[in-house]
This record gives sequence, C-alpha cells and structure tokens, in this order.
Amino acid sequence: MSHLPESPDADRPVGTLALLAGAALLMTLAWLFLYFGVFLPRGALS
Amino acid sequence: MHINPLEKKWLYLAVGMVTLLVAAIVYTALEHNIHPPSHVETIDSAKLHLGGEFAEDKLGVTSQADGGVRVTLVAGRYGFYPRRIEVPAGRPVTFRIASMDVLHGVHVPMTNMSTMVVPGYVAQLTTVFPRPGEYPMLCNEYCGMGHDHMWSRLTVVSADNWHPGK
Repeated sequence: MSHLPESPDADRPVGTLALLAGAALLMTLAWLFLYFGVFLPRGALS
Repeated sequence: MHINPLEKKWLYLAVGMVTLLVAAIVYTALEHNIHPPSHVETIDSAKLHLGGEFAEDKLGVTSQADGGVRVTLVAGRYGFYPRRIEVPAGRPVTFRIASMDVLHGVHVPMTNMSTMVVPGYVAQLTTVFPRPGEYPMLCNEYCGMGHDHMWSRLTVVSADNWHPGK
C-alpha cells in the first residue's frame, strides 16, 4: 500500500492554529466580560 | 508517553486559559469576600409566629449601626412577608429569611441575590444592589400548586431617598 506524499505545510498547520487561537481568545474575552462586566456589577454575594 | 508537539501547544493553551479564569474567580472572591450563602442557624419553623425575630411585627427593613441594612422576611406558601420592601442602593443589605412551611427559594432577577430557604434554618446572605429600580422577588424552588404566583416586590431607591422603616 502506497502512501500519498505529504505537502510541505502538513506539519505547520498555520491556518488551523490561527483559527483555534482566535476562538480561544474570543472565548476568554467573552468569559472575562461576562464575569467582570455583568456578574460582579450585579452585587457581590456573601 | 509521547505527545505530539502540536497537541502539547494546545494543552498548554487550554491549561493557561483555565488557570487565568480560575485565578480571576479566586482573586475577586477574596477581594470582594464573595462566597455562596453558607450561614447555618436552626429555627423552629412551626413557631415563627409566636415570637422572636420572625414574629409578624418584627419583619421588614431596619437600618444597622454599621451602615448596613437588615431585611427580615418570612417565606410561606405563597408569598414573602412583608410583601413589599424598600432598600437603599449601594449599601450592604443583609437578608435573614425563614420558611414557615416547605422549601422555598428567593431570587431577584438581574441581581445576584438568590438563596434557598430551607425549613428549620435561617437563610442569611449579604449583597449590594448597585442600581435603583423595581425588582420582583421570586420563589425559585417548586413549593406547591401556587408556586408560580409566589413573588413580592423589592424596590431599590437611591441611598439619599431611602428612609428606614418604609
């Protein structure tokens, strides 16, 4: 069984990296906004 | 154990994100003294009306010497008593709530005020209402056929316009 030759960029998936890093950054910023911008201003509970 | 270098990068990123979010929670919890309602104080729910803090004439809003405000409420099917309370914005408000019958919950939408009211225990929590306005105070623990009608009104007024005992 022969293997297809891999392209030179196969070990450097820059597009995937950028997409996932962008999603991770967006989710982190959204969480921080909800926590500091919405949750805490509604009054701390103790 | 071999881990692909690319997977290792994402592992570090995911752990970094979780560490950041947990650190934010821990820091603000310590900074603002935030914690879930954890007050433990027992009371005889069947005798609330016979005297003491939760007798009918003692219920309501009172100003405390330390600048805070205390709200004493009784929850019962199907309402919170007194039915209408008024508290100042921006000042610590301590709720003390007891149930006269079954399990209830108290929730004020658009704020963080929420707790369970377990029969036999006094539910106590302290919060600050930052914005004046009219808020419903809802029961969020199913307590019987009239549960969806169980609500009272909470009015938050600016501290300058608030007068204790109203």
